[in-house]
Amino acid sequence: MAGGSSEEGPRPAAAPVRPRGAVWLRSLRDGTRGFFRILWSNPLSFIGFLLVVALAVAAFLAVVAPNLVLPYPPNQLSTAYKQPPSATHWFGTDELGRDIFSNVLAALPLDLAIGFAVAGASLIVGGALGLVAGYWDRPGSLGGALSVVIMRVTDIFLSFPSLILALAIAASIGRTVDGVVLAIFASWWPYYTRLARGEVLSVKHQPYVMAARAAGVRDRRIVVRHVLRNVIEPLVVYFTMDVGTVIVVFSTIAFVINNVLPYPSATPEWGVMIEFYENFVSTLWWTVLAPGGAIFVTVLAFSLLGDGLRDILDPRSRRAQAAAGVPTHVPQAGESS
Amino acid sequence: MTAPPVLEALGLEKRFPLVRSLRETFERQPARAIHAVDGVDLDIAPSETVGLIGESGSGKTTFGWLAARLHEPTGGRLRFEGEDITHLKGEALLRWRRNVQIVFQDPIGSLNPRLRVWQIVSEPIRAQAALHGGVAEDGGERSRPRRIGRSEAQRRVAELLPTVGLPPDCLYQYPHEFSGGGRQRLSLARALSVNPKLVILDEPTSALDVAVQAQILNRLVTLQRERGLSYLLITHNVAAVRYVADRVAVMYLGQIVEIGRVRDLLEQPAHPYTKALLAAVPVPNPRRRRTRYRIGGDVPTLIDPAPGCRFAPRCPFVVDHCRTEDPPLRTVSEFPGRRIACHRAEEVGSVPAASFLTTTDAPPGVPGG
Amino acid sequence: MTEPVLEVEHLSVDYVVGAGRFQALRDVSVRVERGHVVGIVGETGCGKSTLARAIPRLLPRPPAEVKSGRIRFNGVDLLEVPAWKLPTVRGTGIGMIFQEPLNSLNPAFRVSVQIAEAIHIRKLREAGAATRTSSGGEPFDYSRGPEVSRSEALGHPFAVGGTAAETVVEKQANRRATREEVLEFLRLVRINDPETIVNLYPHELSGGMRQRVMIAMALSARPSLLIADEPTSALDVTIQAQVLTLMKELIDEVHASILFITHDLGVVAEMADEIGVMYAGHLVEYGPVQEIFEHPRHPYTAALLQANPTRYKADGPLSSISGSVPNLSRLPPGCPFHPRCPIARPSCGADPGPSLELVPGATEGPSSHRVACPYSSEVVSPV
Repeated sequence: MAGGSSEEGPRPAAAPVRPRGAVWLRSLRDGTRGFFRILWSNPLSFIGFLLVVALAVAAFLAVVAPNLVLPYPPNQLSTAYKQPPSATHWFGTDELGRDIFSNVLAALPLDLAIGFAVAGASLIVGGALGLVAGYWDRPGSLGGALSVVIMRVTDIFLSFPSLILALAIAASIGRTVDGVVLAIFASWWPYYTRLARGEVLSVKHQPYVMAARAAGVRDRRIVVRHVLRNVIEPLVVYFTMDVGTVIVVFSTIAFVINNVLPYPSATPEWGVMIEFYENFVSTLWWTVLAPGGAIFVTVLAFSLLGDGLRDILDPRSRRAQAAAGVPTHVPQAGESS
Repeated sequence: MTAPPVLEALGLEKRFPLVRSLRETFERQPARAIHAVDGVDLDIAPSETVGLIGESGSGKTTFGWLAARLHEPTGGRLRFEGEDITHLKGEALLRWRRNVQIVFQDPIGSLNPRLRVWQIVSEPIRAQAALHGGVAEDGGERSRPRRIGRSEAQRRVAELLPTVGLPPDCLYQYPHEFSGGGRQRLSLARALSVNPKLVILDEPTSALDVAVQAQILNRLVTLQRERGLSYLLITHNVAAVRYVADRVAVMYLGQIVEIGRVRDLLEQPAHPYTKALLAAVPVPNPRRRRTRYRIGGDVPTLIDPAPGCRFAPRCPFVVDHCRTEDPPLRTVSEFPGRRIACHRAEEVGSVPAASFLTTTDAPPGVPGG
Repeated sequence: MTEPVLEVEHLSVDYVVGAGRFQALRDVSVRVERGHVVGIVGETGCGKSTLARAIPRLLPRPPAEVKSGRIRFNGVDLLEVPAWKLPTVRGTGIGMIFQEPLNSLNPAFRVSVQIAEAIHIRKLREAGAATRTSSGGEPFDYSRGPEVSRSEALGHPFAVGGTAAETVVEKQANRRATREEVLEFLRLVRINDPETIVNLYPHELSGGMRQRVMIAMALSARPSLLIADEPTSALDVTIQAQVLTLMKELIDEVHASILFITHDLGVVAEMADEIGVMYAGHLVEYGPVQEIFEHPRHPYTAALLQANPTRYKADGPLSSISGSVPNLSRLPPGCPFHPRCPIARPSCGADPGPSLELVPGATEGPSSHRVACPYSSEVVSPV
C-alpha cells in the first residue's frame, strides 16, 4: 500500500510530479502558508511574531530614518522637565527635559544587534563544536580525543555562573560595548555546545543515519544532510529565546559596570538608562520603568515566537498536520506481485 | 565449479567491552565484555534467502550489522564473493557498501523525516556515484567519480518506485505521509537503488499488520526472482521466514544452534531450543490450543559466558557434558542437510516438543477456560 | 441467565482535530459474559485500542468525543457516571494491562509499593470508604489473602500511611498484612521468588516478569473485568507463550472476564471464547472463535485469515488484501470495506452501511455469530 494510512490522522494529498525549477519556489510558498497557518492556530506565538516584526521594523526605521520615528532627538534638552507620561511625551521626560520615549526607541537597534550578535555567534560556534564533539566521539580516535577536549572545556565554562563569568571577563577586557559583547559570548556558547552534542548523540543512532552509512555516504555529508538537519531545529528555537535573554544580561552588566556606554548620548542603551536614572526611581519612576518595560517586551516577544517555532519547524508536528488543512485521501498504488 | 557464496562468515565474533568499575580498574582485572555474536559460521549463496531467527538478545541483529560492516568485528572472518572484507577500511569500504544494503525494522526511524522521497531513495546512488561513478543505467560500471544532478536522481527514483509498488509521482512527499507499509517500501527502494548483491532485511515486517506484511513479503520474493538477489532475513517472525527463506539458521545467545533447509527445520526441529521456540508460536487455529507452555530455567548472561552449551540451564535433556563443553555445529546423520549444535542431537532430535514443554492440545470444542 | 459483566451498545467515538473529524468508532457493540474472554482483532488504526480506552473512559478529551452509545458495566452505564466518580470505577471495577509493561509501571517505585497501592484502594472500596459505583461489586469467585473486615478498614479510612491515631503496632501489622498479600498475588502469577522481586524496581525486571507484575497488579484490585491491550505483543514468543499460559490458568482460577485486544490472530485463537473483528472503526463480525476461524462470513475476516503466512515460497504467493486501510477522516460511504472487497456490488457503496446481523442459520443468542455483510453467504471459508 502506498500512501496514507489512518493511524496518524490527516495526510496531504500526493503531489503530482512538479516541473523542475519552480520547485523551490513552490515549496517556499507552501512553507510560508504553513508557517502562518500554524502561527494563526496559536494566538500566543502569533502575538510574539507580531511583536518581533514590530520591533524589527521600529529598529530598522530608527537607524534609517531617525527623524521620522523619533519624536525628539534623544539628546535634546528641553524646558519640559520631569514630565510624567503624556500625549506629547509618551514615556515622560527626565530632570533635564530629555524625552524618554525617544531614548528607549533609539536604544532598540543597539540592543537587538547585541542580542542577535551574541546569540548568533553562540549558535554558530557552540553548535559547530557540539556537532563535532557529538558525531566524532569514538574513544581512541583522533575525533574522540578532540571531542573530550571540547567537552571538558565546555564543562569548565559551564561550571561558573555565567553572569559572574561574563562580568569578570568584561571587567578585565575593557568597559566597551565590544568588550561586554565578547564577555557574554564567552560565557554563552557552552550551552549551545551541550545542547547540540546531546541532540547529535540521539540523532546519530537513528536508523536513517545507519542507512546512510550503509549506502556509503561519507561522514561529512552525513553530518550535514542527516545530523545537522535534524538538530538545527532545537538550536534555532533556543537561539530565538536567547536573543531576549542576552539583552537582559547585557543590560544587567551595563547596569553593574559603570561607563560601558556614555549616557546621555546619540546611542543610548536600556541597561545604561536604568543605571543612569536609578536615583530617580521613587520620583521620576517612568524614567526607569520605560527602559525596563522595553526589555520585558523584547524578551517576551522572542520567547513567544520561539515557542511557536518549535511547532513550525517540525514537519511531523501534530499541530503542523492539523493546521495543514483539510485531510485528503492519498491515492493508493496498485498492490503487490 | 559453483560460484562462491555471496557472503561468508567464519567464526565471526563481536564483543562489546563493558566499562570497568573503579574497583576492577584498581585490581587490574581484565575488562569484561558482552559476547553479542560468538563464533558464527554462515554462508549465503547467490539468489538465496537465509532466514536468521531468534529472540531478543540472540545477537541476530548484531550479526546483520556485522555482515553489513556497520559494526567492526572483533574476531573471525567475513568474505564477500571469496574476498576477505573483514577489515576493509576507508574509501574501499565505502565503495564496497553498494554490494550489501540493509533494510531496518523501524519504518519511521529509518527514513530521515526532513528529506523528500526522491532525496531519500537516491541517496545511495548519489553517494556511490560520488565515489566511483556508480552503476550506469545500462548496468555497466563507470569509473570516474561524478555528481548526480537533481533531474537524473529524480528520474531514476521515479523508475525505481514502481518496482516496490509505489506510484512514481510521490517524489516530493515526506516519509510521514506514508503508512508503515509504504515507508518500508521506500526503505526497500533505497536499498535496491544501487543494485546490491545482498540485502539484509532486519525485521522488515515486524512493525506491520498482517495484510501489509503479506504484500511486502510477496514483493520481496518477486524482487528476488527478478533480480537474483540474496537476502539475509533477520526476524523473530517464523511465519515470515517460512515464506521467504530457503534456509534457516536459529540463533540463541550469540550462537547458531541449528541451521538447515526451511521446510525440514520448521517441520522437524532437532535442537531442543528450536523445538521450544517453534512450539511457542501461536497457531491461528482455535482447535489447536495449547493448554500449557512452560520452559524452565534462567537465560544465562552474555557477559563472559561460561563454557558449555548456552541452552543447558533451560534444557530438559541436559547432561553433565553439556555444561562443560561447547557443542560444535555439526552434521547429524538422522537429519541430512542440517547442522545442529547439540551433543545429544542423535538421541533427542526426534523427541516431540509437546512431551517436554507439557504442551497438549485441548479437545476440540472446549474453549481454553 | 446472568447479566454480562460488560455490555457495550452502539458506541460511536469521534476524534476532533482542528477542523477535521475522524470516526474512530462507529456503532460498536460488544458483550463480555462473566468468565469469558472476548478477543478484539484488527489492524493498526481499526479502533481497537480506542475501544479499550473508551470503556474505562480513559480517552483524552479533547480530541476524543463520545457521540452515542452505552457502556453498561455490571449494570451501570459508565457514560452517565459523573467524572469525579470515575477513578473508583477504573481502579476497582476494571483492570487494564497495556502493551509496554515498562511504561505502564512507574519506574520510580519498587514493585511492592505499586501493588500495595492497588490493594489499598481495593480495601477502601470493600470497606465502603470509597464510592462504590458498580452494583455487581463481587468481582472474582476467589479470595486469596487475608480479608479486611468492614469495621477494620473503616477504622482507618485514610490508611495509606496510617492515620495519626494508628498505633505503631497496628501500623506494622497493617503493613505486614499488605506485604503478605502482595507476595500472594505475585505467587498467583507464578513468580518463583516473590520475596526478592517485590524489592526490585521495574527496570530491573525482564519483559516477561514485568508483564507478570502488571497482571498481578491488575488482579490485586480484584476487578470484575480485565482489559488487556496487546499484552504480549512486546514480548518474545517463548515469553509470550508463558504469559498466555499464565493468563489461561488464571481464567480458570479466578473466573476472570477479559476483553483481549490484539492484532495477532494466533494469540486470539489461543485465548478467546468469542471474537470481534474490527475494520476502520466498525465491528464487522462477531461470534464464537471457532466459528469465525473456520467459517468467516465477512470478506474482510476471510482475507485477514488468509493473509497470515502459513506457506512456503514454493507454494505460490501469499494472498493479501488489495489497497489499504482507509483514512478515518474519509471513510467511504456505505460499508467501509467495499472499495477493497472482492465480492462488493454497487449497492455496497450506499449509505447506510450494513449493520451487524445474525448470520443466516445461526440461532439467536447473546454471543451468536453476527456479521455486517448482506452477502455473507458468498464468502469462501479459508482452507
